[in-house]
Amino acid sequence: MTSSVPTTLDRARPDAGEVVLAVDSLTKSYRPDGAEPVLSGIDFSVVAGELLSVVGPSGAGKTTLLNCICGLLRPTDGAVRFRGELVERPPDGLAMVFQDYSRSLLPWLSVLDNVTLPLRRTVGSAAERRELATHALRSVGLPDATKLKPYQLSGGMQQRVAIARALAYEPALLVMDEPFASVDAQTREELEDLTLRLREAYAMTIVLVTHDIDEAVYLSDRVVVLGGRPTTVHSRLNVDLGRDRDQIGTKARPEFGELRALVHAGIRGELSA
Amino acid sequence: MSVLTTPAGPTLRRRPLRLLLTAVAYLLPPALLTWWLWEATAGSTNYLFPPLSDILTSLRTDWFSSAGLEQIWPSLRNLLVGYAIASVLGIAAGAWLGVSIGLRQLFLPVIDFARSVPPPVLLPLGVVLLGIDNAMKVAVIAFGCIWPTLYGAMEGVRSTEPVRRSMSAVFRLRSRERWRMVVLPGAAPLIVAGMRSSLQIAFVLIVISELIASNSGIGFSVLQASRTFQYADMWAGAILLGLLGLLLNLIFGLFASRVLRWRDEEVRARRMS
Amino acid sequence: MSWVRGAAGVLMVAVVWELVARTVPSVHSYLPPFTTTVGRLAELVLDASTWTALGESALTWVSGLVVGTLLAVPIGFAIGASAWIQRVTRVVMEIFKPIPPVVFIAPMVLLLGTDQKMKIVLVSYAVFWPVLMQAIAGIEGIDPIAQRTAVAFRIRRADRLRFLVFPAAWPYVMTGLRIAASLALIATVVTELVGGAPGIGQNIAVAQINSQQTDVYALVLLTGFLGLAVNRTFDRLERSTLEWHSGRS
Repeated sequence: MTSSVPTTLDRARPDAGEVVLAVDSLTKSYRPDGAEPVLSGIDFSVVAGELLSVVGPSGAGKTTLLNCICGLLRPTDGAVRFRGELVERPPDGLAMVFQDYSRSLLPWLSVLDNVTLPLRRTVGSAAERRELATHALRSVGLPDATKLKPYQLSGGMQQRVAIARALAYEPALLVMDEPFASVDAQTREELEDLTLRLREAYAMTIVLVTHDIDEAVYLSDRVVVLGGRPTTVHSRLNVDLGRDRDQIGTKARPEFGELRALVHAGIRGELSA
Repeated sequence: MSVLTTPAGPTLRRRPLRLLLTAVAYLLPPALLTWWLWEATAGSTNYLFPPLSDILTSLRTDWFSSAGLEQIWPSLRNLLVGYAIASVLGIAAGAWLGVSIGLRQLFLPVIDFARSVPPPVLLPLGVVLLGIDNAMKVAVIAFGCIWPTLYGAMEGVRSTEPVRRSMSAVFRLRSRERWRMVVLPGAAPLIVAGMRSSLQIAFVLIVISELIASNSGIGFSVLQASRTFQYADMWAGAILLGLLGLLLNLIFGLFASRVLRWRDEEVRARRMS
Repeated sequence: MSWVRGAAGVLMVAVVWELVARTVPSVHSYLPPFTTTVGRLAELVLDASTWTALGESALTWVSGLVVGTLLAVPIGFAIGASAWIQRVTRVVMEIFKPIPPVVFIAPMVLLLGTDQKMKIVLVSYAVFWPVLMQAIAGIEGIDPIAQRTAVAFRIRRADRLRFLVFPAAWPYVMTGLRIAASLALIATVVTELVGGAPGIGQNIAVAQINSQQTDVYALVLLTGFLGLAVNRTFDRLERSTLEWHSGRS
């Protein structure tokens, strides 16, 4: 499947082993004097082809962290590097899937136009944009939705469109912000498995931010657990469940339960401290 | 996976009979009212309420004649030119103010003051500044009716969904796409609402702008008739203004429903799910 | 610190005004400098007759607003309650709505004379239409789910009016009032400007006829302040009633 992906941007593909994202002792305070930081000394990095989850309780500053990663906010201290370069504004080659699909998609544009919107800058020819978008929509299982408006689709399907938009953009890094928090449980499982499939097919590098422990363990190669006040990295876990995962089998494995308990203890331990 | 919901379903299935009934419901009452007034005022000697037949006769001879159209045209032209200027300037200035808190803080007090000046008092000012030609009337109409559009555009741009802002920034949309495909369509409901109020004010102002220092136009003729106790002519002019207002509102309604079609469909889709 | 910037904006406009009036030669005859205008404004504000005129205008404006609203709200609610009444009245309303009250000034002067009564009638007419349209929209816009809930719980008609209909329609009426408030001020000034009734509009007309340019500008500024007070009041009123409402959608 990977061979059939039409690629226009060779630079978009990171080499194996490349550090795509490095968050280096990042501290963020909203006060001008830097007091009362929300995030303090956050450290982690993401290697090409990896799926890393950042888990933390609500109010832990996950959104702040994301905004720093995407270049929407400047850190008070420390740095974010994207493919070796300091992030000072949104970098080229970073795509995002937002939690609020109904707002992140534009209701006045068709599904196809929504997907091609970011490509208007990166891809010169309209035909090529169309082809990339159609391909991405096929990959997320919505081959026939191109002419519809987003609101004519169910929530899960809208989020698929948002994923297709990110996919067609051919990002070096895909950032997902609580992408499945607003859909029902069954749709959520479908979308989780879709994410795993796409990640294999496109050799994607993904950072997933979530408050859902099961989701983090099920999807990730590594989990970064945030906690405390100000928020710091509480622990880092390797998820050795192999690449072949499924909702029932994987979640029934004893290792899954152990990892889950570890993450849980991490979050709770910090909360009671 | 859930079924696609297609809005606009039930409205398409309207029966011809229902359509006919609706048309009758809309048109019968004004017809009855006309008939009743015709009968009630027949042979009336009340100088203020002359027979309806006289009024309709002068409507035909005063207005629906080549001489009448020559009176209507300059007023209509002033209205359209003034309204067009106000719309373009209002949207541009409102959008400009909508993007920056700094600009709003700088200019809003002045603008708040300017929109609070009742447009009729600008007439003497307009005469002082611009003389008594059409330019003065167009200026008074434009200045008087620009505010709702300006505030609508400002509010619409300012209240752009934060997710859409982040989306535009992360995907690094060029400012052309950002304005044309994200910000302005999102602001369209408020811009259109503002333009609707602006049109109503502009309509009142075509008469007001012909109050002083004028010798042609609908407003001038109506005022002339009422000052010289030609009440049949005055009522004919009032009916003409009513019909003209109805026509402009209908045209505007068509324009608005075209521009906001996505929103109406979205609302309907939400209601059905 | 927003007021500092706001003051800076006002100052900017004042400086441009002053410079244009003082340096551009041909402009001087019809644009008095800002400082001269403000000086004249200060004199006028200290003059009791200005306050009498302002009082006349304010009285007309408030009375017209009250009368127009008291007429429009019940009629609007009645029309809004039934889709059929709406259809039946629609075309007639759409024809009457755009007719500006200015048209009727002369016959009204003839009937009622150039006093408060005439002004109030015309201003109420101007107020009536926007409030009526909003009242209809308010009844129409009541959440169908809330309505069905009320019926399902067999809530009495009177209670339904009190706890469902009025609170739901109120924000719409407030919006109508805000629009009507500025239209009422326009109508007030017009009746004074053309109808010859006493008030601030008449003062402007007199100043213009006597070619007292500075007075025209100073009085326009003064009406601007009056309008600003009107708009501020109604914006605030509307916002306070909209607070719970905007949280709903």
